[in-house]
Amino acid sequence: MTTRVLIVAALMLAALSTAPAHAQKATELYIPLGQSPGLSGRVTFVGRIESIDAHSMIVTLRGPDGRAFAKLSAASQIYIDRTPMGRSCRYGFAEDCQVGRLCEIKFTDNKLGRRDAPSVVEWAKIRMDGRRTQAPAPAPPVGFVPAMAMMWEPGFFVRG
Amino acid sequence: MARRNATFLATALAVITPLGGCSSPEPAPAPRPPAPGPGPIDRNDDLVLRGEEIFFYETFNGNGRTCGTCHRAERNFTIDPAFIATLPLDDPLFVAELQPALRENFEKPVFMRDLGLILENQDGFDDLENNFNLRGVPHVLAQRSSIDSPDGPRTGWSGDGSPGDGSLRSFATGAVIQHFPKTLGRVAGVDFRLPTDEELDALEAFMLSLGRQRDLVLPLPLKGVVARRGQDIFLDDTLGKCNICHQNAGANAVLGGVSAGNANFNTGVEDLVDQPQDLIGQLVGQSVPDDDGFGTPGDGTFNTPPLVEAADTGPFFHNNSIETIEGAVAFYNSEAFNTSPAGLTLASFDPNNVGIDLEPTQVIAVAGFLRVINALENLRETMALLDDLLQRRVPNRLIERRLVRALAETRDAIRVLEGGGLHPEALPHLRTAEGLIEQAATSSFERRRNMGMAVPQLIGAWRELTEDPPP
Repeated sequence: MTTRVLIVAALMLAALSTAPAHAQKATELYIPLGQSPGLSGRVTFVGRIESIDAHSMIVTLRGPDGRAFAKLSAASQIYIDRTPMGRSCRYGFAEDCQVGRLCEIKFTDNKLGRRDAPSVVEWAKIRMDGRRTQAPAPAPPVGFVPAMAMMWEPGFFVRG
Repeated sequence: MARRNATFLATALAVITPLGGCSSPEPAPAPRPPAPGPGPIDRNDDLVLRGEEIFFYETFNGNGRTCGTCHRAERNFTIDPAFIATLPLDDPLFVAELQPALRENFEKPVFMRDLGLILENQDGFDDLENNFNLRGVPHVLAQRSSIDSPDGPRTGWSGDGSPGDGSLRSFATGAVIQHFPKTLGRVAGVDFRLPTDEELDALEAFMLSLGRQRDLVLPLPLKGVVARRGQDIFLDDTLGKCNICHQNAGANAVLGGVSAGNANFNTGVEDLVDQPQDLIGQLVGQSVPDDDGFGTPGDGTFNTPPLVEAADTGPFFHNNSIETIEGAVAFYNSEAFNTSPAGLTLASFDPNNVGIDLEPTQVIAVAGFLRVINALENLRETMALLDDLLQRRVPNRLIERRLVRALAETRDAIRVLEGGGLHPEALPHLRTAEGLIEQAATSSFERRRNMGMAVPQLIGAWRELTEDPPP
């Protein structure tokens, strides 16, 4: 009997409690790089983009705290921080990840990725300050498969 | 088999309700132990006072609004159409009507003035014309016992109101971006400045200091028969079923005997017919998108507000769709609720497959209970405010503001009791107290004497409502 009661209780708990708590994402767009409350300086990583592996969609950053390996997914949100130019922030694309650009990354699991196990990016803020980046954007690599080509298209990472 | 199932369900619900529900309360001979939890935050602590200054005066170099523009101290830290109608035309609430850069897609003035609805872009800023929600302003009272969940804090109407880490501390950052900008470009450092860490700490401390610091422990030894019956129905998990999601009339659910903290539910409010915003929208030719609640895209759920503060903080629900507390209780009888995910789940555990089905007299009784506990909270808060003033704990510059709040709380107690035809014997005490606090608020002459004379009147009103000793 006790077991059945507990099963009913667990079912009710599962049925009624429907949504995990998490933060509002909309206004994150307008929060400049490094200023996200409770996240920046705690669980995000700030560094310059060192390299981009377009095949695996992995971005390597180097910052004061070392390196981070970040994997972009279809759900990753990319924001372009243009506040240094006094311009409005906007949604970005994967192609906005360019070597040399300053970038802040929030990982879905709040853990820095390793080279052999990169963490998935929840959001990335890329700073554009009007200066040229250190290196041009990488072209799609040789052997770029069609599915990856689609992911390379501007807008693919924009929220639907 | 049916009897076996009924027995089984009754046992299950007994597990779900550790308080046992519907027994008639006996007058309590002695003070009952308070709910467990940390002690109250000192509202005169330096950090809290700093937060209060920021809350009411800091515009963050934006369009002129402050937190207090919408969360009015004299309206229980929310705002409603009746109050909006009293504001001067140049009040910062109306920046969308005053500042050309904010004229389009920042607010919907008709809905703000008629229904107290504020525009939010929870689902993103990429289509301002079509992608927005209109929501009421939630009060920020009793935050300390209302927003924690095992999954983290739930802020705002859908539980995901704060940016960054989602904490109450972070809330102001999102609010400044959404509600304070000079233009819709929303450029930090140009259209506003973001709160500093020190300001976020202070604002959080201030918000946590507001109102009730812990949950009630029901049942209360109420004196009025209607309110007492309403409390029984509220606590009965086979009848009112209110206490499942609003444990002790707060904002936390207890499911299966386990505290779920503040939880999100899809109760079907969006499916109500003839909602005021739709009716006005048809009249003025402006459609209002459905609000999809938590997340992007939303899952249709909204989080649970505390009920102790409900009766004087209407209109109700995230879209201000119901004006009265009686209407809000009656909503749970509606087809919209009983066919919603939450209603169907409740029904699936009922032997007759009923979600919630109350008679009109029972609706009035539950609403009467909510009115009485709201009035008790008004009295508790007023006495606490006056006590602070009488003990000289309040900085001089804040004395009048605190008295304005004490006066508003006393008037709320009168309003919620009168509106339900409850406890007429308490009203003379309350009106006398109202007059004395008003004199204290408007003149420093004999201020302490007037405050001191108001306290026994408030205690007298308290004793008409409950057997519990006054705080």
